[in-house]
Order: sequence, then structure tokens, then C-alpha cells
Amino acid sequence: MTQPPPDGAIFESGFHLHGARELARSVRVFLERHRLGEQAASEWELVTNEAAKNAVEKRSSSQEPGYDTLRVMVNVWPETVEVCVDDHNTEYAPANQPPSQNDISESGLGLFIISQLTDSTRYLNGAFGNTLVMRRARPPARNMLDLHCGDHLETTLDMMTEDLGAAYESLCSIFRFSKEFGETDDLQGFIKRWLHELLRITGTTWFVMRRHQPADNTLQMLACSLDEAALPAEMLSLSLEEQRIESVETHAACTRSEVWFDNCTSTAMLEPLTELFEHPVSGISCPVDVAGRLFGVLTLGCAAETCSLSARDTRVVKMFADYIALQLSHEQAQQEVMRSRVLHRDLAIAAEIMRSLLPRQLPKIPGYTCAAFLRPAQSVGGDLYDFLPLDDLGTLFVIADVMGKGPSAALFAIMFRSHLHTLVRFAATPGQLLERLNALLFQDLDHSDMFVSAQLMWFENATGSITIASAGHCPALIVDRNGRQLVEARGEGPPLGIDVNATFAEVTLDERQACHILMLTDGVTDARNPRGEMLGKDAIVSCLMQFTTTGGDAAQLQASVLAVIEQHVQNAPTADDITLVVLSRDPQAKPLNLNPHTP
Amino acid sequence: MLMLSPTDLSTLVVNTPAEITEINAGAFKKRLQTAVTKEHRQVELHMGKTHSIDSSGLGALIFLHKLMEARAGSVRLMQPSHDVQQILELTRIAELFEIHR
Repeated sequence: MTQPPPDGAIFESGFHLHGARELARSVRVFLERHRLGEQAASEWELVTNEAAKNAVEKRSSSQEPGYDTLRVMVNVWPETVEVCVDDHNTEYAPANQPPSQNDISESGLGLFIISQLTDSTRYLNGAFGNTLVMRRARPPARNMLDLHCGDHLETTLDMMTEDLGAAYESLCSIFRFSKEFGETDDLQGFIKRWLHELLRITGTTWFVMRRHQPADNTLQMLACSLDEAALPAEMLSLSLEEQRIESVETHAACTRSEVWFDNCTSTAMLEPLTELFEHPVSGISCPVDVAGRLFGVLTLGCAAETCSLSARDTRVVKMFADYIALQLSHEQAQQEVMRSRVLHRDLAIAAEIMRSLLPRQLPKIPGYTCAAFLRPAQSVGGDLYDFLPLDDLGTLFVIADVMGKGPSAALFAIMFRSHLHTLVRFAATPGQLLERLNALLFQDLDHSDMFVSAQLMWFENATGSITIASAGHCPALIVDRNGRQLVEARGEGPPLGIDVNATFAEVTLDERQACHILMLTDGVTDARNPRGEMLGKDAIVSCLMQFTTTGGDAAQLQASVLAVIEQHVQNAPTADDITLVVLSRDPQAKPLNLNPHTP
Repeated sequence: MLMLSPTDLSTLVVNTPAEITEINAGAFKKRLQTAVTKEHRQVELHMGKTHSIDSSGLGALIFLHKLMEARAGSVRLMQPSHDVQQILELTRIAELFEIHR
């Protein structure tokens, strides 16, 4: 005769001894709900505990990663109970025969208990794990079939009617809960109101709802059947330390599985519930999570020694926990949208500030043309350029890159520009100016772990010579009039904000050596194509040298360099700001007469 | 977890914890080993508060039995609960002890 399908359940916990205890207790509760009888259920608890404990103790040292779940399956047929315990051990198999009890020893008792309390045991070996299958006939007096006969028929009908009525009430509550779901601003009050409703439905007497705070990995009190304001502060927060299981609530959070507790549960596991409620005695602690993401833990129970939650009640509790998880998830998503909007607005303000820092006009230098370009990688970048004409003496060209992006980079860019404009008339050379800028900015930059790379080029009107000083900035590329000689003007020194006593060397070139001058930031040479390859300096140098053969003004040179960058980058996303400053001598301009005695 | 109550010099009285399982059996054994001295001829385990015991807990009881047997002493189990008594009988460990209900 074919057996009818069994009523079954799978329980899981972490692969440790506490987990083995919890699983054994879950099996007991499940079997009691299936009217197995207290004695038989208690024996199955003992058997399951021994089998699960064996699986934990004999866990293979070469355990594959990922097999960290202890799993027990229980099946109940009208005449038989079967409990299966999985392990993932490749090196262990239990002895077929328990040790002889003629010589009682401290070891082997677990297997002996299993063999004594079951009718049959089989150990099935698989490629990825093994299963210990234990079976035992149900005691006849508790046989489910008997409940449908004779004297038990009326009792069964009464129980079914009661269950049906309770289920209808639960469904009505859930529908009302769903209607209000998502329409409330007072999340705490909403959850508290509905958890009181849950107590009424399930016949429990108290609840504690804690919310998970990922920032410090704690469970904070969100709602309680007691007045939260009157609770001592130490009851309000529970720490979830890695691999540490302190209480039923933290255990439920860590294992993401419900934890049953009763008067057999150790006092330590019941902390701090025993402090909150005079008689927490028994109940269930459920994780409140969505797709594996923990939002909190819901615990409820009653003063009875064994919590009278039926399987239906348990499903209702889990359903409420799921709804609360969705509500908390929804609120978190809304907060993230708000934060994103605020950040977006901040970035827009910072972008406007950065744009306002750029000079509105290019400098006008007889015999020369100028061009400048800045394209931020994001809405706000850390690059800037500037031109500071000083009377008729000359013009200071500035290019700089503040480390970082966003509002903080914009703030330092403002500070840099402000100090630059203040100090420019109090320094004799670009190197001196960088020293003074560094001294002024050092404290703020150092405090914020930031720095600024900068390059200053002084163009002297009278001679056409240039003097360059750099603070950790990439060298300017300079070619002579004939395009024969390339100079990489470094003018070395550390970035601003690194060394308060830093000095900055200078490089000076005369009018004949400096025909086309290209100042740039590292975003130009570091621009990457879709394969992730950087453009490199050589491509820019090659472009510059080729340009000198064809000739053109600063705007044309800038366009040529940008074309090289675009061709390389194609449609790849830009990772860094791209900034160029170009100064080109007009090919038609007469050479400056540097020596008045030369005809 | 474990409380020792001195009576006379030859008897050691021990109140056992609520559970004697894999989790605390090792510590329980260690405490017993430390508490039992050469003068002790008898150990009384008061088990009224113990509601749960597993194979590791039984192992601790067997350890105590062997320890006292080597000293020509004995172990008494006082007021074990119904569940504990049943496990003791099932595993035939009850035969090793003098049990007072």
C-alpha cells in the first residue's frame, strides 16, 4: 500500500552546538503540534540533539566553504515519524553498532541513545553530504487516525471549527494591516498598534520589536508591549557581535531563523527578556528580514511554560514579521532617496561654485594666443585654471587639481583661488608664491587629509620668457618655434598640503624655446579607452610636435589635443577631469627684440 | 552554574546546573575534578534543578563515578527529574549510581 504524503518541516540553524539544541527543540515543538505526545516528542528531541551534535562535533576539517548550515528534516506519517539530520562530512561515518554497554564508557553514549530510541537508522552517503535517517513508529494511542474515530470525532470537529474561526480573524487583521501598510508616517506607532493586534490573534501576552542598525550592528528597541520610555537604557540596545550568540533575539538575528524558547532555555539566552518581563517563560523570536537583509527581530511570548502558538499562529507571526520588514525596507528606501536628493543639490551648488571660479576672459598678450578647456568627470571636479595679469609686467597662468571630487574639493578650490589672488602681488617668483600658498593652506589640507597639485607659469611681457614652478603637478609640454626641441618643464616640488616647509624649484625658458606651451592635468594623459588603456603622454607629445609643422593658434592646438583624447576615449566613461591651458606664439609675429644693440 | 555545599569532611554536596550538555559538560567535569579531594568518600549530586542532560552530561557523570570508584567512594544522585531519570535508565547508567528520588 502506498503511504500518504507526510506532514513535514525543515529546520535550519548555524553549524554549532547551540544550533543543534535549537533544532532539537524545534523538532519537539513540531511533533507536539502533530499530537505525538509529550513523552515521544521529548525522546525525539533527545535523539535529534544527539544526531545533530554528532554532525557538529565530527565536522570535517576539510569542510567545503558554504556548508555552514545545520539542517534537520522531520516527516510525520500516520504511523511513523522520521527525522533526518544532514551533515557535509566526507571523513566521518557513524559506527553501525553502538558500543557495548557491558563496559560503560564516557563516549559512544549518543549513538547508543539514538539506537535505543529509534526503530531503524540509516546513514546515506552522498557526493556533497550525508544524511542520518532515523525512524520510529508512532505510539498507537496518539495515532492521528484514531482522532477521527469514535469519541475523538467530536473533539476533532471542535478543534477544526476553532481553527477556522481563528484563521478568519487572522485573515481580516492581515487585510486591514495591508490596507494601512505604506500609508503611515508614524512607523513606530503603526508597528506597535499592529503588534498588539498580533498578541490578540495569537493569544500571546507580550512582544519586543527591535530594529537592526547596520552602522554599529546593534538591535535597537523599536516597539514593546511595555512603555519603552520607562525602560532602562541598557535594555534598549543589543550588540550583534560576529559569531557570538548571546540571547534568543541575537541568535534569531545571526542565524536568520526563528528561535523557540521556554522554561528549559538557559537564563543567559533569555537575557534581557527576563529583565523586561517578569515571566517571559516561553515564546518565539523571529528575524525580520527581506531577501537576506536584516531589518530587526520580533519576539513575542506568554507566561505559560510552553508557548501555545499553533502552526497557524506561527505562520501569522512570520507574516507580520515579513510585513514589518517590508515597511522598514520601504522607509529606508525613502530615506535613501531623500539623501540622494540632498547630495544631488549639494553637487549642483558645488558645480556652480567651481564654474564661477574660472576666468571669464582669456588673457590678451600681444604676439600670442591663449586657450583653455575644463571638462569635469562628474558634476563637480577638483580641477581649475586661472590667469592673473599683473599690470603690464606679465601674466601668471595657473592650473591646479584639488584631490577628490564634490563639495569638499570645491571648498578647497575656493580657498586655493582666494589665497592665490591675495598673495600674487607679494611673491617675486612662481616658486615663492607656491611656498606661501603651501604655508597658508597646509594646516587645513593636512587636517582634511587632502592635497592640491598646482603649476604656476609666469609669462614676462618684456622678454617673452617663461618661468614655471610646480607643486606635484604633471610637467608642462613646451616646444620651440621650429618644433625641434621638446621641453618637459617640471619645476619640481611636492603637492601643497604635504610638507609645510616645502620649497619649489623653477624652470625658466626664453622666448625662442617657448613657442607652444601646453599645461595640463593628469586627467589628459590618464584618459582611458573602452579597453581600459591609458592615453599616455607620448600621444600628446606626438600631437604637439606634429602641430608645430602645420602651425596654428592656441585654439587650434587645443582642438587637436582634444581630438586625440576623444579618438582614444571613444564612448568610455570619463574617470577624471580633463583640463588644458594653451599659450601659443603667433607665427606671424615678429621676434621680440631682446637685445637693443642687435639691428 | 555549579554550587558546592560543604557538609561533613567526607561528603561533597554538589548542586547541578539546569542543563548538563555538550556546552557546559567539560566545565562541569573540570569543576568536579577540582572540588573532589582525597578526603571525600562520597559525592551527592543534587539534581532537582537539572531538567536536561545529553550524552556529554552522562559522560560527566560516568567520569565522576570512575573518579570516586578509584578512591573506593560512591556517588549519589539526589532528586533527578523524570526526564533525567529516564535517560539514566535508558542508557543503563542508573545502575552505576545510588539514586534517591
